[in-house]
Amino acid sequence: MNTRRMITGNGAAAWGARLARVEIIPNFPITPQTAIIEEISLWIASGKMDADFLPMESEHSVQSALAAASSVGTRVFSATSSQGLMLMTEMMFVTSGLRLPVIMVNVSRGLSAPITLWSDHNDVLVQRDSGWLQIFCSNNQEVLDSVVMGYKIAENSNVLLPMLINLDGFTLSATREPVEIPGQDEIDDFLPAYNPKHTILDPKEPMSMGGVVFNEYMYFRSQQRMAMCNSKDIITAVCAEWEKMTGRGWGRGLVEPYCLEDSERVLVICGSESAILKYTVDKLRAKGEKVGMLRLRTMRPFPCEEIVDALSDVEKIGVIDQDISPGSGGIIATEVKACLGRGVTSFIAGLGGRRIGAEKYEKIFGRLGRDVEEWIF
Amino acid sequence: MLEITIHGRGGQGVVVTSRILGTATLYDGLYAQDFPLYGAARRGAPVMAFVRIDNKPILLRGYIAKPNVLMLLDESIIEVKDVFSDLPADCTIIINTTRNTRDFKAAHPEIKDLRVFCVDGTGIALEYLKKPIPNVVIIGFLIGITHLITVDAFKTAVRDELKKYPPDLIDKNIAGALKACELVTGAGAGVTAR
Amino acid sequence: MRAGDRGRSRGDREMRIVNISYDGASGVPVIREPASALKNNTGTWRVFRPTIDSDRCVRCGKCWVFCPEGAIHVGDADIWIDYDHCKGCGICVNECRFITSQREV
Repeated sequence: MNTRRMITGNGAAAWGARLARVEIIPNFPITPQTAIIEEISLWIASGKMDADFLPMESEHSVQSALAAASSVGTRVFSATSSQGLMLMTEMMFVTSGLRLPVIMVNVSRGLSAPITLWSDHNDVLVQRDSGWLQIFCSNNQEVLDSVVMGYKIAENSNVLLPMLINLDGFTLSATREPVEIPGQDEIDDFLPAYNPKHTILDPKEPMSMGGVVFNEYMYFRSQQRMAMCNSKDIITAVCAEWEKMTGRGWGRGLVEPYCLEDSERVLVICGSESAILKYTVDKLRAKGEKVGMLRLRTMRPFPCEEIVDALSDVEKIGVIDQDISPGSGGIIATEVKACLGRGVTSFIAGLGGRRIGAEKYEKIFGRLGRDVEEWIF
Repeated sequence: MLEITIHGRGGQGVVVTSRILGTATLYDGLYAQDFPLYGAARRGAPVMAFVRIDNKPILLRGYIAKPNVLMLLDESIIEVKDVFSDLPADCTIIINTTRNTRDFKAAHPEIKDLRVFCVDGTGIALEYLKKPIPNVVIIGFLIGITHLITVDAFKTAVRDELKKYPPDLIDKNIAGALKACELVTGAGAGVTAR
Repeated sequence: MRAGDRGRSRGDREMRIVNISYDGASGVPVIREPASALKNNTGTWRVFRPTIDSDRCVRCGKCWVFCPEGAIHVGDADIWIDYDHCKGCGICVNECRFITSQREV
């Protein structure tokens, strides 16, 4: 039976893992992610969740344990943030290279130095070439939904890739909102137990995984590339099935258009800031301004066709980046430009959790139409 | 939408205050958002928490600079933080202090034109709980002054949010809050959403 | 050659960066002043205030050893508490019978 409760983004991630009946959770604590794992360990200790909790000695070991546990055919989950995700980097490529459907939540937090506890997207975007699917959540409900849907997408035999689900530190992780918690029966029908056929370490059927290859290396990378392409249809289909069950489809799964029909000025954004941008769009629309928003929900696969479909007729486009590649510019702006084949106005904002707020979004809408990179402080 | 900002110190129950208000709002059938903001997570350090209440899903996020209601669980926070500047004209302020409103306004002329309610939450907490933890009692004052949440939803929310504590402590908190509510009922005329 | 020149020769436009400039050493995140954290008055957090009974104190230094904040100072003739940085944790009170604590007013 569904219940509606006030829970944090961290709580929603934990609920997603619980409903998906994950079996092994290796972890290492890091702010602002730790509350996810605290909640899960309490559930395991009190018998509400039947899973093994593995306290590891570092994030590198966490990622190794995720890959190992997934290799024996268990459903696994973990969460991390910022520097923790960086320490996992080496093993991230192993997990995706072995095509293991691991689901991990990243609670985004700006990278050191200097140290910040607040959110930006540089940590998760560093991993964009690691062969993991990436989902950016806009609210706590989407966090819970994405974790459950994540297993169904990642475990699909046309995908078989790990998935990183990003929720913004503090803005979502510590903020409570009403969240619909689906009943366990419903989820059990939606998401059957994990039954791998492609890789499973089993003494009865011996196999060796990830050995040395020579010319074949490029072939395996081509298969990861194709799996990413396949994942688009699977994400859309799983979101449609979820929508049928819960009423929530999260756009078309890949992008969430908002007021785009007759828009002359559109801002492209991802993550929890999109809610404030929606508020701004509503406010400006009430004054008769033709503005809209396109939220990118998946960063990998990058929703290129969907962006072209949504924005090809729009005159002025801006991209909000809560990240910076110092030698190039806004990471998402660069990718959006490559899709569209034309210039956009690139805004760098909200680094290290710096407040943007509805007033600044209003101003940003007035500054579109120039092929520049503008920093919004 | 109605926005509430709560200031206090670590250990006074600032975060729990916001959570009780958020949960009670949900029980009242409305939409809520609550979140804390703190630097050092230590007893005694300044802590802020925020609540948004609306009759439709809430899109705005982040720091509330122009609250409809400002609650101070600890008077001494004024010395370490500028909490009274730039408040909107329709802001209602509830302060936990033993001073009366006239003296308080005289000491803080920047809020002389706002609706200020000085309440002795710690006094009632000491009487009912024998502990100087005033948060639930102050919510009682808030209900009496603003009618933001219903008493039934408040009681259920307190039981939810304090469930790790002994039942008699929860009962004493609720009794103290109801006493506080009774003391100020009729003193205010509610608050208006913007 | 500037980064933008090459792009222009291919017919692209230079990407102009608005709103920021290079500020030299001020852009390096270091604190050059030693012990600047002493300026932060963390004593306002205190609920209980420890007091050393100086008449009975034998200056053994046990409180100095146990204070987790380095807020107890040992001089040639006395021991004193830095109330700007004492957080009132009560460890010294627990360790020494000549230190007592009272509620802050």
